[in-house]
Amino acid sequence: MESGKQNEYAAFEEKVRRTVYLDNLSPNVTESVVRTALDQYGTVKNVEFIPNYLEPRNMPQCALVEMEKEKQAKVVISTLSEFPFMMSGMPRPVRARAAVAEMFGDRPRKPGRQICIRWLDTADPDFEVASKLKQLVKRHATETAVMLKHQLEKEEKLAKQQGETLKANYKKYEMIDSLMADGAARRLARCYNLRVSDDSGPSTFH
Amino acid sequence: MSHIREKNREETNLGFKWGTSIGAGVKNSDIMFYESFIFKGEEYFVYDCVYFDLGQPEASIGKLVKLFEGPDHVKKVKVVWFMRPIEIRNYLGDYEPRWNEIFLASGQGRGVSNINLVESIVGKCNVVCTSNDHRNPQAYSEADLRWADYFFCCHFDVGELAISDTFPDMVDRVKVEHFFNKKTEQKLLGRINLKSNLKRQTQRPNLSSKIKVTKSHGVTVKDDNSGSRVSSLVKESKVEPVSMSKQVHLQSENIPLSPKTSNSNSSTQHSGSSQCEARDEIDKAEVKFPKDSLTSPDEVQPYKKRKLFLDERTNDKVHSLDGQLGHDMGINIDNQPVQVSRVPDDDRRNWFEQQPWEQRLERAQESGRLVSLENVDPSYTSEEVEDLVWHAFNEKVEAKMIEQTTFSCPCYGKALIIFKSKEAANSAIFQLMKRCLMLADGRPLIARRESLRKGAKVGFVGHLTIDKLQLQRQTEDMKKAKSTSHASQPNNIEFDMGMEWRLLQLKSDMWWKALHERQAKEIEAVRNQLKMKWQ
Repeated sequence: MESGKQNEYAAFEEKVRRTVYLDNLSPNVTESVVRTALDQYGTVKNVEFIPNYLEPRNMPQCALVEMEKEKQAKVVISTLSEFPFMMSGMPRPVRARAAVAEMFGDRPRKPGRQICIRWLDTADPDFEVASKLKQLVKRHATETAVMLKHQLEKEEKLAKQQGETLKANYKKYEMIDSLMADGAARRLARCYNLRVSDDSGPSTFH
Repeated sequence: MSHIREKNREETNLGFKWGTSIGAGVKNSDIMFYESFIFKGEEYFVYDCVYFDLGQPEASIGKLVKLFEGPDHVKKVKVVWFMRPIEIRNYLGDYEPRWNEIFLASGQGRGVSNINLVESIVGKCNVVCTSNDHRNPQAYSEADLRWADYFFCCHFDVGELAISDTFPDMVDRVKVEHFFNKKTEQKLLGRINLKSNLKRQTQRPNLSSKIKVTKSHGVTVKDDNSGSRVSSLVKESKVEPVSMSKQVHLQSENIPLSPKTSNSNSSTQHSGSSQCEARDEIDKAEVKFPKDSLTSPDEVQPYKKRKLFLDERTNDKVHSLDGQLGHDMGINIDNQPVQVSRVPDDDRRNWFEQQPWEQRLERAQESGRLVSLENVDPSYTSEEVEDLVWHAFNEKVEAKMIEQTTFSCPCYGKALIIFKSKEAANSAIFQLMKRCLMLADGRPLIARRESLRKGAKVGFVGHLTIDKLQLQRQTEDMKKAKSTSHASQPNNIEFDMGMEWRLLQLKSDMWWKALHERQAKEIEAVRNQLKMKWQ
């Protein structure tokens, strides 16, 4: 009945408020990973990945995570915005946002909503405008596609750049490490009469 | 041998087949007249209104008054035309026709009627006569009118070049009563094995509008059941979205319609029986098209027998329960804004084992049935899209709204539709291209063949690894650090890099926002040019 639908929709809306939308997820991330990851912030009720049918294949995944309480969802979002949160790999952080109804593919109808449609023929005064609109829509779609490509390129660039930096850093570490390890540093220190402490700090970047 | 060849030719000729014949011509006995024929999957009867494609930008609407085939095996129909307001705009004077109003051509002269080939028939058209003429059974309801593709209440005399609302006795030597709404029930009900027991309770036999009452001299179907009969059925059917089937029947519902919306089994039973009775009384001369015959008991079988009326599908799915969001109105092929009501769909889904969505998508794409519908209101749900497509094209489809992601423009929605057949998909795309289907808020829908992006998942950028480390000793801790998800603390390089990514993400958010805003503005600007009122 109507009220049934209302209730259903109200429940759905509530669910939306409790859900967090994650993106920039690596394809290696699975449901259990997400669950364990966010468990520290609250109870994860459900994890659902949004399938990607039409976009280019190398897009990061997105998921909808339903938490038990709205507050928990908020906490997740704020923490993830403050600190870069890593899942199954670094350093690209996962991004979290509040979910909106449209993100759910199988959402229920909004009760009381009516859709009107009508056909226009060429004779209609608005046909031209409608055709223009159609073209505009198509244009926008291409614009979006271009933008998306652009974004992916930027991301790739950044990743490459970081990769370089990392390698350089790592080399430095390695060098220092090996120096310490094979005693070259100590020998040099004796030469210069300097003290050298023997703690090689753990490399934090793995 | 030749006759076999002819037969084959006929059958392969777009599925054309004559129905029962009503005799040879009086003047010329080589000509055979028929009562009905089947063409391109639809059955057309004498006095049906149909659309013709004669090369004009808009299809022409006419009423079939004679169906015949000459000795040369060329199938022809004699058509009396309905004029569109635009065609007679010079003669309308002060009269302001409504959007879906047309005018019956009458009088003596060119343009009233002519003979056409069957091949120019495009489909059926639903025309209601709203004239107050005493011969016209005013037995149609508001809903019928809304469901109809067109209506007419005046005729245009080609001799006098003027419109008038008083109808002459004959139009091109056909009794004018044939042009008015039909009164009695469809005689053809008899042809079909109607199982009068409507099994499915909830199924309200929709049909409604198509109830035709043959005018057996005003004796409408027995009044005893009148109520029940069709009327209740009819009412029930109201719930049904109008069959897009462009059928043209001057439909009618009996005036003494006691709006019994309660769809009880008994009432339907009544109607079942009443129909049988009515059938008997039916005037043989009238040939009705039993649309989705009421009786059609919601079973699939009768429908299947009836070949392929697209509406048939709707019959078994009657909207039940809460459904009716009250005003269920059908769709108008014409320009009247029409509400899209819910289409009962339980059956199909529950009958077959549904394969997983991805598989269905792939199969659909292979067979060319996958279409993407763009510029949908993003807040629509998949079900609403399915209903919409059903109403617009009378096709049952599966739809899935594509979820909004970080970079979908909030003013656009997109949906993937799987059609039943390639032709259906093609025709829908074509129609959407030629004409515009507008949603209530002024969005024209666009359809496109869609293909899923294939390809394995390419690597994910942004996750860095140090190869060397992987080969060497990876201590437990190291492994764990990588695999556990954690928020990095600002004391290492990981944090810095993470922040760089963050920065990029924010930047990208901003540029997406800017793009979407600009797009929304552009759309608004063009939308404001729309003259008609959209919500």
